[in-house]
Amino acid sequence: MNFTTITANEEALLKNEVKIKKYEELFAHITDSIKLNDLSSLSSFLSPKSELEISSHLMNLGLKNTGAMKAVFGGFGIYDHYVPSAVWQLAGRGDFSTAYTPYQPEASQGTLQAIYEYQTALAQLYSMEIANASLYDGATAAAEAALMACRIKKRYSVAVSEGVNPQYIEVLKTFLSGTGIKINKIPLKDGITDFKSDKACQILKEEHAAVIQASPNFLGFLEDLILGREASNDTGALFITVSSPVSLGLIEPPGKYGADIAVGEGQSMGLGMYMGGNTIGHFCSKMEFIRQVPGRIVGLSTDRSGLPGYCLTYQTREQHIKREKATSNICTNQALNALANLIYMSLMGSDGLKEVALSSHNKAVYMAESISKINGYDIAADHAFFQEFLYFTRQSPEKTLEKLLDTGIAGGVKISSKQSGFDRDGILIALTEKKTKEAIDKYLDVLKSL
Amino acid sequence: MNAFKKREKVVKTNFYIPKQHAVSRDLDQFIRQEPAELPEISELNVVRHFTNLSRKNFSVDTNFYPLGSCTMKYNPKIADNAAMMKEFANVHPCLSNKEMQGSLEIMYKTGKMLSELTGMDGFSLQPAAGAHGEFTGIAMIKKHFKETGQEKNTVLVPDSAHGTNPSSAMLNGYKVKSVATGKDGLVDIEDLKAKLDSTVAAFMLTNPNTLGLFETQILEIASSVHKAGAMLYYDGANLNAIAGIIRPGDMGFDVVHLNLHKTFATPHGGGGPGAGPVLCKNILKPYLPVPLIEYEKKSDTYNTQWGENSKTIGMTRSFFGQFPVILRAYVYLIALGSEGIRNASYRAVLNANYLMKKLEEFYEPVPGGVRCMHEFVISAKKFCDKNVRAFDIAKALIDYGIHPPTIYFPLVVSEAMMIEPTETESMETLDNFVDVMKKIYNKIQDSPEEFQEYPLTTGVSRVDEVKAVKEPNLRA
Repeated sequence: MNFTTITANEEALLKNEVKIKKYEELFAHITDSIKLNDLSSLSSFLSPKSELEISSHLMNLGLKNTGAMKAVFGGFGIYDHYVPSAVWQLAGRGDFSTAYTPYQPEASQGTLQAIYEYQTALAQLYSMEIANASLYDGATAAAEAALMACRIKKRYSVAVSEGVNPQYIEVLKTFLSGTGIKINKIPLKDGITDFKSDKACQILKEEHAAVIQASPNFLGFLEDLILGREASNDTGALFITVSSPVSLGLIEPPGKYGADIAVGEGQSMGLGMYMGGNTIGHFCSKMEFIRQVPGRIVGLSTDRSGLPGYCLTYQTREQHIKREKATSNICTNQALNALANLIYMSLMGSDGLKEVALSSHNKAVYMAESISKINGYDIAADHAFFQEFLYFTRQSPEKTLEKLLDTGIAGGVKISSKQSGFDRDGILIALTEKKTKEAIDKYLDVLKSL
Repeated sequence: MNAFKKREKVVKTNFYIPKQHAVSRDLDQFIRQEPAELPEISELNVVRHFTNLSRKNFSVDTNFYPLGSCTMKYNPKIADNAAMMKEFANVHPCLSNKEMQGSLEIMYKTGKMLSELTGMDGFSLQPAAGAHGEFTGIAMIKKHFKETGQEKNTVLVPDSAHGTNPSSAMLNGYKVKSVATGKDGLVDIEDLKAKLDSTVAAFMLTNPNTLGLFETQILEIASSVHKAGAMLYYDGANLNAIAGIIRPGDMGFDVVHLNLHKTFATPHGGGGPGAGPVLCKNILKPYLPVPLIEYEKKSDTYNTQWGENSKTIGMTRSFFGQFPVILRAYVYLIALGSEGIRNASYRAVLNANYLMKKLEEFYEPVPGGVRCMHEFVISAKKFCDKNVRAFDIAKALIDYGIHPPTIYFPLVVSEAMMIEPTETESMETLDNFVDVMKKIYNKIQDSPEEFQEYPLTTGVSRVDEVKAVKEPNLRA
């Protein structure tokens, strides 16, 4: 395919106008030694393909994703929730998807209003005062929140619960390594952040810029955010929470516990799984911190005739104006995914979102209760959980997962004892409204047979 | 209409998913007390609301969009179709490698093609956008100097650089120093050499630079940077000028980030998702973020490698990278082939030179009289005495159905307008743009006062951005 087609006649006219005969002349002022003489050295490239050839090629590649056809019980931050048909029929419209960042408000009111409404929906969902226009994913949102807290508090250490997804903690380390900010980890006890342990008390004696707590935590357990808020108060830190937005249809939101900054991963609301590659970082905060918020923010103002008009605002925080003094280096964010999140929430409404949460939760409860009744299987701990839980197996987790796979079930994620703090390796399993009772029972049958 | 103002109280139970019953386990302590106030409207009204919103946008699909440095080329529809395939959407990231060979193959081959195109040895597709790629590349450089016991605390950037460059360096804890641009629009080599001391970790450069000019002394720049013990960083925002013609690796760059949502035709989405792959020479390969994607020839399989005990900088985000974006870029790469990629750059440069030539009678190219690459900058300074600024010309263009060029960037040009037509625009579109710019020029001569009112044809006229800060309204 070639998307540049012009007639030979037009090409000649263009070349004539700039006084060249051959394209190479456009590069005549550049030393030849750095030019690529021979395209054959680009050996990974194939000859150009037609759309028909590409379609069948992609079909073949798609078929190699055998896991895409299986019942997925994996979670660990990415969840297999249903995506209503209208989400991408609308978000995929070229008028949205082929626009740039809305720097020219008069030509971008569609994108701008959508972001404003997304900010509104997020603020509602998390029960926070404001939200930004999105960050890359939940992990980078947590890292940006930690950096923001350090700027506000002018302190250079953060305390993070080990209930926060281990990948988020890895990303936090990478983001903070450059600036020399110290990370202290508060361990789990029995799968829940233990703020009262000796180690936690030791850590929290020191001054911190932030305490970071997740609920549900990465093992699926719901945590009491009051404890994190109190720990933050004790050490004079900001309180940062990590939430699962679908759970907020059912579960008390972080704003109600006094979170200063609330982040989450929005993949579960209409984005599909894509190997964990279609994500969005939700970022909410209190209004008083607006000038330290990273990324874009849309505001509602008025135009010349007093009509409502949307525009990017507080841009003096951003890299294109403040350069090395900006609150973050982020430029391109996840705008179209923010739109998809908004459409998802608009379709669902609060009742619909509650049903998704409830369905996921009820199925998880049914599954956990069923597993605990099978001899030789145990649920890790008897705490309230949302849609995900850890269980211990009769045979090794690897072998169990392999057997499940043989019957067409992607049975979950192996979690090592080192990651969970329990004394055994286990399987982390997530349920969503998409899992049928038949699929769950089939899973249980495999466990019984091992 | 605002979706939040209209509350029909439409109850969506048993609508998208089957009806649910009460909570079956004691969640009392955790149950939400007040429901979130989300839009409660029928599906039809959701569809109408967002369809009508979309019509309030300029986009590549509807308008000429010559936004400099952003490469707003046509985004092929076959790539969007590919991204909607359930065989890719339904892949959970924790599946075993053998369950997602198709997706891994796409990522690996995309990485290989990009490595060859840039003349680099290793790749990571993890960074989610250009600035994220910059952060990653600079973090790798920092780790390299740490591992080799060299103390460096400064990153140099040209004064014409994208704002993300200094900002990404700062995020890595570096001091930032600016290198001057000469009168010819190119890096002032003497100033660069004066600032290149043993404390400098890297020089970040875009080539062609943000004035759309090729840094012809690039080999001298590279050798000076390397002689000083620093690394040369390539900001790939402008790769569309040289893809398949000149490779950053052959110019002496050590690490590169690309913007798949620019050169590789993935839609920009109104501000993302994009993707900012990082590619590097062997010396920096050990520091690439994890997980890496590798190919094993013996078993003909694609594998993920989590880099335990390696020198990696770690993870820069969760999982592997922005898969739907990477998939679209893969489709673009195989559709065009290497020859098509090169021809696209040729055409992009031809179109830009054609426009510059046609406009120079009325507007002032900066620095002027030289060959531009895929974009060029004009200055509207000469209209200031008529009280018409770049900002006003931009707003006037909107009334002609053309998205304005990038304005007030690069910062080294006063009243800058940066124009990038891309290769996918037809001669007719280019000529129409020239006509419009001539009409605007004539209007500046005849009735400059009218420019304060533009645009006149959009649903919303000039928005009061000062009020947006003074009286913040950030949510309904």
